[in-house]
Amino acid sequence: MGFGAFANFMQMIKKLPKHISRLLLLIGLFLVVALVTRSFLIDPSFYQHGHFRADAVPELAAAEPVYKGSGFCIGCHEQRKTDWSAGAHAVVQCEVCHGKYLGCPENGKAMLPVNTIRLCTMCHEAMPARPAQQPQIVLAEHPFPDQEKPECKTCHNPHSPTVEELRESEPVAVVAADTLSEPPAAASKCLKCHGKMGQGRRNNPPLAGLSAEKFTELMNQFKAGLGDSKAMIRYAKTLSDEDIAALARYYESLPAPLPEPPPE
Amino acid sequence: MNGQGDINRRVELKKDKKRTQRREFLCNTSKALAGLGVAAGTGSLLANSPEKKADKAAMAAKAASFPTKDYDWTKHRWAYGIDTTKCIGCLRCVKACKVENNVVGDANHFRTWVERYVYLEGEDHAHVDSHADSQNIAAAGPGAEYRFDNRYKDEKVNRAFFVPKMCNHCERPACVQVCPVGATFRAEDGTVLIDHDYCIGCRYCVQACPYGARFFIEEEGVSDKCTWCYHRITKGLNPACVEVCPTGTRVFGDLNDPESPVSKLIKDNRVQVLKPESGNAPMCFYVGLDKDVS
Repeated sequence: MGFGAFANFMQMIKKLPKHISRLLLLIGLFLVVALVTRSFLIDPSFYQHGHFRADAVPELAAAEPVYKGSGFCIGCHEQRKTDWSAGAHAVVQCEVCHGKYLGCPENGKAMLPVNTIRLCTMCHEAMPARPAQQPQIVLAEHPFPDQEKPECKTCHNPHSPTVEELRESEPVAVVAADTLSEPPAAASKCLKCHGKMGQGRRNNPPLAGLSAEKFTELMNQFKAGLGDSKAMIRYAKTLSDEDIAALARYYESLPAPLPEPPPE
Repeated sequence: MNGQGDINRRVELKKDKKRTQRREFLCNTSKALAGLGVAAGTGSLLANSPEKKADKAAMAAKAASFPTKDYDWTKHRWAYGIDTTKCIGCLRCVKACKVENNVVGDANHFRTWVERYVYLEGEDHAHVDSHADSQNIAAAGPGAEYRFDNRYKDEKVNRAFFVPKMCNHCERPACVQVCPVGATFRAEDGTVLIDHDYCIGCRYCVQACPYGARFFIEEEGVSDKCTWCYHRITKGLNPACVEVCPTGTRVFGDLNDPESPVSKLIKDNRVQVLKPESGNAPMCFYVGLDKDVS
């Protein structure tokens, strides 16, 4: 068919008036030039999958991820896994507070937050639009034990913070709940820093198992304005003698915490 | 008489062999060229015919999965979920997106952002601001640790909430329709991507997007937007914003997988999309959208 049809076509062109056949010739030439140029200009992968350059897709997919994910960090920092993954902050990935992976240990360590108040209030500052289930503080009203250098981490473990609940990794003697005496109302403030069971937390010493005399003596000292802890002095001044006596009885009744585990 | 002479002269001329040859040569050559051209033209048109395309697709499938050897885009149908009732406005997603995708560092270029809607008592319209609001930028400080300032803390707030926003990766994207050069397209896995090499910077897409999800990079002369971290999702990771979200507001997943977080979100909640009337069929599904959010 090919050549015959072409010959017929040429015959037909020949029969046309010259000005028409020349015009057709010009159009044909233009088409040839356009198509040849087009084949040079358009990427070979264009139209492979649609009206776009298919090679662009693997190019976009090739970039290296910057955020490595907590699983990657835990690979080396295994000791963090125990407290972080068990606490309320298990949903907060390492890189949220420490910044992107910089290639530690070769290229230096990940960022250690300098200003924990600024960092923590990003999520925990009381704000009208924040949902109620989010733990929030009003900064101006929040007590900071160390007024000179206020820090969230003085009381809260950033890797596994607690508001009032017990840190699960804390070594505490397990006691059946019904054998415990009811905590006095004043204890609601103690447990914020000393743990729910008075087991002590971070820099705050354990209260559980402390003898009633020792407890009363210490509290009276604080009440008189003596001692290192300004927070304790401030707090003790709000307590009556009856409160102190009740607290002393309560903490004496609690079992003393197990000894600290050896440092990592 | 004169007429007869003319005819004679013409006959003479026709007999002039040299002249006839040249004329014929030119005529034939041009015809041949035209013929070749038509043949070449049909050939190159045929190159894009459906059969050829099918052949290529079959070959590609046989050779390896596309776009990478570990990732086959025909097997996924990505979608994004945003539960606005959980968002605390910490803006870690915004920060992570900037870092992950090396987005231009100033306060006007964002692939994702968060808006705050506040209704004060006695008012029936919302006060809306985002991280890019000048007061919030000032609160962010020099380290660009994006945060919302606490400007409503002393006001009587009736209700307020945060709404994260981003490219909706629409099923029928207006931005793709208006692109004159095929620089933006919808991949088979449902992501709407931009080919920066082909983008001519005409900014039609920036104007076409009903969600304001696209922006222009002045330095490079190309438009840009969220890709759902295409380099991450093709490696089995979550987009960076989902990775860092501490509240589970943002979820991502494959609609082909009924157990994926986004499939579950859609199954367990009544979801909405932004501006459904625009006809773009967005693939970001919202939970808890308010009537004034658009």
